[in-house]
Amino acid sequence: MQGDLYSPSLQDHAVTKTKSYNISGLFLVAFFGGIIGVTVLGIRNAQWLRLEKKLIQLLVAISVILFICKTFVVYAISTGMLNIADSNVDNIVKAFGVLCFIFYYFMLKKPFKEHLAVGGNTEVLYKQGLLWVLISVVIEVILIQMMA
Amino acid sequence: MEEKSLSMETIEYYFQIQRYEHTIKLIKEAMNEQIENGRLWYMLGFSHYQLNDYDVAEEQLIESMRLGMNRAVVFPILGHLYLETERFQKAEEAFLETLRLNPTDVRTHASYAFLMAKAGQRKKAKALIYKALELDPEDAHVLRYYLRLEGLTSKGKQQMTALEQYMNSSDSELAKLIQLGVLASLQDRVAEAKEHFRQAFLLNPEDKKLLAILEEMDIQNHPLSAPNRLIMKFGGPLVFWVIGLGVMFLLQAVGFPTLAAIWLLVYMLFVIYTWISLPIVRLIRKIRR
Repeated sequence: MQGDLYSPSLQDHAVTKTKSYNISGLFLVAFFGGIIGVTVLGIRNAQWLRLEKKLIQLLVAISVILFICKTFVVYAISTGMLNIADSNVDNIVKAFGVLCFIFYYFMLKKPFKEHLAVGGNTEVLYKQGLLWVLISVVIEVILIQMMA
Repeated sequence: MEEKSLSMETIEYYFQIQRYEHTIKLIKEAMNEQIENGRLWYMLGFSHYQLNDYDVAEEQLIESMRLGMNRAVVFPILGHLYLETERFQKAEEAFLETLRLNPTDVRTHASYAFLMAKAGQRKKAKALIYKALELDPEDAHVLRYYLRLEGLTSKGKQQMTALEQYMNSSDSELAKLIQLGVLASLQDRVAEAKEHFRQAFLLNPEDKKLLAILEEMDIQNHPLSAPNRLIMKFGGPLVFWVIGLGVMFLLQAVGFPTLAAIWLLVYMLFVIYTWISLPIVRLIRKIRR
């Protein structure tokens, strides 16, 4: 590291300052949209904050695992393997989305604070948030219909 | 000759007491006779830099080096100028050049650390700020950046130590008030932050950046922004989310589904309002002007 300290780190590509959404705002995306929306925007946010590649891969892995678990639970309910009322499927989808958000929140929290500490602003989330809620909902509905 | 030296002494005096507008005026008057004076070009460029006139400052600082001004003095200023104008690659080149000319320049270590943090190179930023602390643990500039990079994002004892070290440093009263304001602002203590920035502004009423910060603080302190402050009083957005959803699920579990639905609706409207409250306040202020 000592040698690296005095070697250029920003010369290979166009370097910009870090960017971030207000990460707590991702909750609404998770709550209304579910895992897909929070994953897309969360990964984008992680890249903006320049999280290490292995941490981004970990976040993707968490999302994939949660998505598989959620799909299995929904499938189990719809086929009667789990004795839970069908009306609760929506709540379960939401719960998995929120769980996914919590993982992302804790992974992004410190880099987000560091971003603010060096004078960083937050990007507007409304449009992208709404877009990904809609996309997520459409995908979730299609998946649930396919399993029903 | 005597008149020339007197003029230089006056310029140096106003430059040292940070009266930059007056310094620029005096230099322009003296410039015709001393057009090849590198030190004058440096003071001119530095003064413009301090007044946020970056394009002019850059040209003048480069000219000062061409005329023989010490490069180890000019390059750090250029580095900061490029940092302010978000030309990060050039900022890095300038800081590295400074460190090549003067490897023990602790302040440039700290400034370079800040640049790395802004560019998201957290590991290098950390290594550089600790290297600066190792070189001079009492330098005010280093302690200021240490507080900013490590202290503000840490918790408890480490934050208190960083703050204590910085407050005991020889940094100016103005700089300390600004850092305290930043710290309070990051911890969502809006009223306290505003008070620090207000005091700092009183010490330097010409600072447009401070004025902009104060205006932003007014927005956050506006009565229409009260719900946002309420969320922070609950311990932040995440705690607020947990409380809100916890109440909803509790109401459902104890057999009040209608009440749970109403609660969810009210809660969501409240949360969505906190998203748009600050833009609304900004719009109102804009219309009033």
